[in-house]
Amino acid sequence: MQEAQQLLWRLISAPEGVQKGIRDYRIRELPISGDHRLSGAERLDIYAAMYFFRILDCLKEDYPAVLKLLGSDRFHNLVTDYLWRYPPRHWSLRTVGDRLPLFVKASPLFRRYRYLAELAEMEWQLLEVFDAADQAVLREEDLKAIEPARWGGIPLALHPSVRLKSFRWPVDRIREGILKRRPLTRIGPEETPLLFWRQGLKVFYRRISSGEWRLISSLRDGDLLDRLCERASQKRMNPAPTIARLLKGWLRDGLLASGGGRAHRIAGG
Amino acid sequence: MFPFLGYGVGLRTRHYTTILREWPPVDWFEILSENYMVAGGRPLWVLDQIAERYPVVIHGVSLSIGTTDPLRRDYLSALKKLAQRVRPRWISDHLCWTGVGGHNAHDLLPLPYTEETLRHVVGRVKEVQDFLGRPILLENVSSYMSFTDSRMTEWEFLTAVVRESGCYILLDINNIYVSSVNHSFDPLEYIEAIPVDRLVQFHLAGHSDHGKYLLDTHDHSVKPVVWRLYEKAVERFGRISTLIEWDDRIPPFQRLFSIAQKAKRLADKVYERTTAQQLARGTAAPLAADLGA
Repeated sequence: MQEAQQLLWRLISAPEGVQKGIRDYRIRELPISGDHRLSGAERLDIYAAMYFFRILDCLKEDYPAVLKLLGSDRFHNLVTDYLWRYPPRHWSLRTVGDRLPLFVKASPLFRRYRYLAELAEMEWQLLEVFDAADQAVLREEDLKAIEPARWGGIPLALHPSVRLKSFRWPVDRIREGILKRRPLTRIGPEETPLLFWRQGLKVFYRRISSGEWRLISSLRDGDLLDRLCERASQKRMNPAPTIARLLKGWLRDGLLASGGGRAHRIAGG
Repeated sequence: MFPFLGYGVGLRTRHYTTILREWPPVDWFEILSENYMVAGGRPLWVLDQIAERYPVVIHGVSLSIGTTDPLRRDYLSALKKLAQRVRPRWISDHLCWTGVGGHNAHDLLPLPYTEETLRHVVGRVKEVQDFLGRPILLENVSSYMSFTDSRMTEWEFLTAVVRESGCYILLDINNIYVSSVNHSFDPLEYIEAIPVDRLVQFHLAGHSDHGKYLLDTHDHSVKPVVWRLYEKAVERFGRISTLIEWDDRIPPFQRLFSIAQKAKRLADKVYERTTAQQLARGTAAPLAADLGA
């Protein structure tokens, strides 16, 4: 039984189909019955097609801009090669495309589109943010309920969906251009720090300044508002207006997680 | 142990917003376990809201009960954790294998129906049930191939598995029809062979005609021929929790809900007719079932 399953898996995952796999592996007899309508190999080929096209459809959804950039045929061939190199091992289809950005780097397509791997990385990042853990967000009303004298002691934490990622290409513009079918002109390497987050069921991203990057990074492990102001002043940022502006934006976008018990304890004294 | 839940639909991401906004009067939801076997995230949050208001059943596609690979403990642990969170009425998966050598084809592949396979599957079902601390349901798959060394029919094999392992059956009426055309057998013979006391749930779905074979695509409404088979199944098994599956080109929630309502109307009609006939013959068994005896 094990032998039969291994044989069928090799044929189902053969990159050029079951018939070619049978020839390549020199298989004399299949353990599959055929009839007047379909041979055993043709029946097995139904599974091979389902295997490939189910994953192809999944990756088309995961990587819409990569698909549009390459076109259906080249994307199809990319996925064929990818599945041969990295056949799925996880029980969830969600993870099936996790190594595509890495794989793309070794693909001949990467020589033509130097931003292709980063574009794929960005699209994967969007999926990760969508799947990230959920937590209640801190709202402006929550802060206003706290006595201003105690604001400095408010612990701030990022919402679990927040991600910072720096790219060497302007992948945000590239992706938008591809999806909106705008010509990609004057595209060259450009440091592109992006902030990703999720609000409700929607995923967002935007470019951020190096100052905001540093402050958000410092919030990763939790930080007090006082400490954040201190850090802003060390960076020669004018702390009060800068922090107030950033904080307002973070609260509006839902970047901060509700401090839960601690924040409420402060509010309650 | 397995209450009659009524007529439900599969929970799909596309319908989250509608469900959370309208709380439609659907009887129950079936969730695809692998979509929620994650650390956290929005889908789990939505599921928590839904599980508070509706009966939920967990249905998996990656247990791979028939593979010759060892059972994946990480998979089972994640499934158990999800079950502890959602408190489903029951957990089901498929009578199939989905990969070997650590690979996952994300396909529901049929098994050779032999004594060797039977021993293998029964042992694994028992192991899974021990781990989860509850009996599971196994579903018949749509199939496009059969093995030269099979020595029994699919329904004989399925019946033997449930009898010997203590698990139960999720009978997919569409899958029976698809396989009956692909392998030239009588679908009614399949239905007649299923033990009444082991059946817990029906699935209904759509399929596509590819000329030489039918494909279980779940991207259409239930075909008339499958509705007729469903009527026959209700005649034999009575009122059974029924679920409408639709996985591709998913229509608005209202459409799915209306198909579930159609299943209810049809089942009620058949059930009442069958009960009346049985009572006329002096059999009181249906009444006892209705009274919860």
